[in-house]
Amino acid sequence: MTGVDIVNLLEKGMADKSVKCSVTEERRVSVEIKADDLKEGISILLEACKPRFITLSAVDNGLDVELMYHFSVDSIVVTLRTSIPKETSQVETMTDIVPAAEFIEREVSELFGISFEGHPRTTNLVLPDDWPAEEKPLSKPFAGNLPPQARGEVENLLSSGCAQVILEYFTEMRERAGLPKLPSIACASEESLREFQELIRRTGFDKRAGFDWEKSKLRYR
Amino acid sequence: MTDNSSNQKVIVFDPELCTGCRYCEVVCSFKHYGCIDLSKSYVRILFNGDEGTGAFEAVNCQHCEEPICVSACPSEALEKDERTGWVKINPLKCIGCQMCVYLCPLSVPFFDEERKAAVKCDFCDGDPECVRHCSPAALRVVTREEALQLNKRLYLGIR
Amino acid sequence: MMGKHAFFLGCMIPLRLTSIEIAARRVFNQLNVEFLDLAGYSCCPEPVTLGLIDKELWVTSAARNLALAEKAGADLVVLCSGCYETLIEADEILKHDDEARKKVNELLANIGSKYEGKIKVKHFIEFLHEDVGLDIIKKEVNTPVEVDLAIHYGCHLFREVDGGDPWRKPRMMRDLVEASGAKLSDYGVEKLCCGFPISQFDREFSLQQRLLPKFRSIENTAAEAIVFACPACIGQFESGQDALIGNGVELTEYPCIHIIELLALSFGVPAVELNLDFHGSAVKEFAECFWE
Repeated sequence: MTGVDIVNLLEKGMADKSVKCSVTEERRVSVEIKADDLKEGISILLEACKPRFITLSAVDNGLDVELMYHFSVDSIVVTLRTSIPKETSQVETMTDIVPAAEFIEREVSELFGISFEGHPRTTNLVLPDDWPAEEKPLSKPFAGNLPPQARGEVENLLSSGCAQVILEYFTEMRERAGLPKLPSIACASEESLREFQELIRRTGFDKRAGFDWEKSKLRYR
Repeated sequence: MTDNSSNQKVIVFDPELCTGCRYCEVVCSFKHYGCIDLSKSYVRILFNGDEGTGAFEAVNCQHCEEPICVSACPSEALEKDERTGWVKINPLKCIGCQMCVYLCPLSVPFFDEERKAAVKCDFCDGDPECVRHCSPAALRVVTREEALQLNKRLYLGIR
Repeated sequence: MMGKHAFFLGCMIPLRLTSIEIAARRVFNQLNVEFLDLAGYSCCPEPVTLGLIDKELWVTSAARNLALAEKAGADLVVLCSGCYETLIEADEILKHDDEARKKVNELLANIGSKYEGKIKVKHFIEFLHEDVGLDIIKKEVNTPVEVDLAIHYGCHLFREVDGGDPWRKPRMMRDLVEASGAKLSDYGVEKLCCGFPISQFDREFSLQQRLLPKFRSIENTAAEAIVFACPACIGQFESGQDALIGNGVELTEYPCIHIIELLALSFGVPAVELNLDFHGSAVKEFAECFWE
């Protein structure tokens, strides 16, 4: 079985889900998958290729923790990677279909603070018994990469297209001076604001900065 | 000066144009450390003389022709690139002895407590941030020959 | 014969120092220069903080603004020095870096926009000096007042592309102030930064080491007010002098007037029509005192 074969069967099996598969090196396949679809993706791989589970690795990205389940199909390493937002820090356990993941999920749980729902045993594996439960030694502070001085401006920019916060005090003064309440700036019309925000999404800046569109705020404020 | 050396790119500071905004320090620290902390900048702007005269000087690495820091380094962490002429510190080789910090005539390198290694200007791999963001073009990338001409005019009055 | 021109107002002028927008519209109206308004423009993006944190965001948002002007077939005349810094730099990069332009156009295509580098970005100071001309401006000066002023250029006014002379636009600014009838009192540290960029990261330093030396030097002259070309500098001076006085520093308070407001007054626009109370300093009182 080649890397390309594995990619094809995964893409076919997960056709209705957003899954990104690629052969990254000669014997490595990378699969980007949503946390909710992870179990299904692993099940398909188990069924079709009878792989060996290698290990689980975790990377703390500040706002999310990336989990990577590594499997070997003959001499090809297949990695299913997913991102867990720290707001929930929760994902379904894979131990019911991959029993060998039991120890490593416990390790990731106590070192990074991710809880694996449905895991059979949650006592400490590597940390001492008297270790304070809230302290997760390998986890980083919940913060994005924007310096504090930039955060307010970024929130204003992404929600209105304007770096200044729009104050009623000034819009009223504008009206009294005989000008339209708002200048012809992006948020003055729904259409231009939507267009501007779409452009921001395409640059990926909202993801890099950790902006929550629903709350119009950065995730870490 | 060898032919190669006179054509090498260096950063020159023109005090006649500097407005003292210190934005070069802001962008340098952000580029190299991901945060804005002027004490971590590799270029430093100082008042030269009495306050209120608007006269500034910059302390920035000259990427010297015969760098004292390179000769002084006991662990070969400092190297002058043969082609570009830029002098860089390899943090993996640096043993933190701080000889370069003491011996540089301009006090350019400084000791990064967190990394436990000496740090200094790395020319941002060819497109220096400080030069990019300097509005009055007080910091410019020129050849070493041009930089010497400018400095001779400014400090020795030689045209 | 002038081509079409569009204002780039930015964020600060229309939403904080609206008197500058009002004065600009009056001045250009009297000079018979028609300006389009760009519909749906966004923050330039602001060069000090936003320009620093993410290059892709910065160049793409700037390109969208430039593309809007291109679509309208108009050169951009920028009222704010900060916006000028961003737009001229982005325009320069996109005109010369094919790779960057390609990437930006791929992103702009998603919103049906395209950057082709067909328009020019001009600072309003150079527009007034070069495109309109001092002679025409002097003809419109109906109410010149020989008031003594100190000038503050602002760092971004020095920005030139293609290795031009950084003093070009500051010299133009001096000519325009003098064309209005005012007299300039030199105080020595005109080129010193107001401290706005660094006030974001070290407010005390910006007040003590940048603003205060400026005030002390200006106090030694006969200047009645300070004239500016940038809203951020005005903001820094106005809030800064309040902060310094609040901290117990003995300081003369100066009206901080924008050069286009000065021109409007010298053109004969009544002070009351300029809504100068948008300012955080006594600009309204200054105007009423000298022009009424």
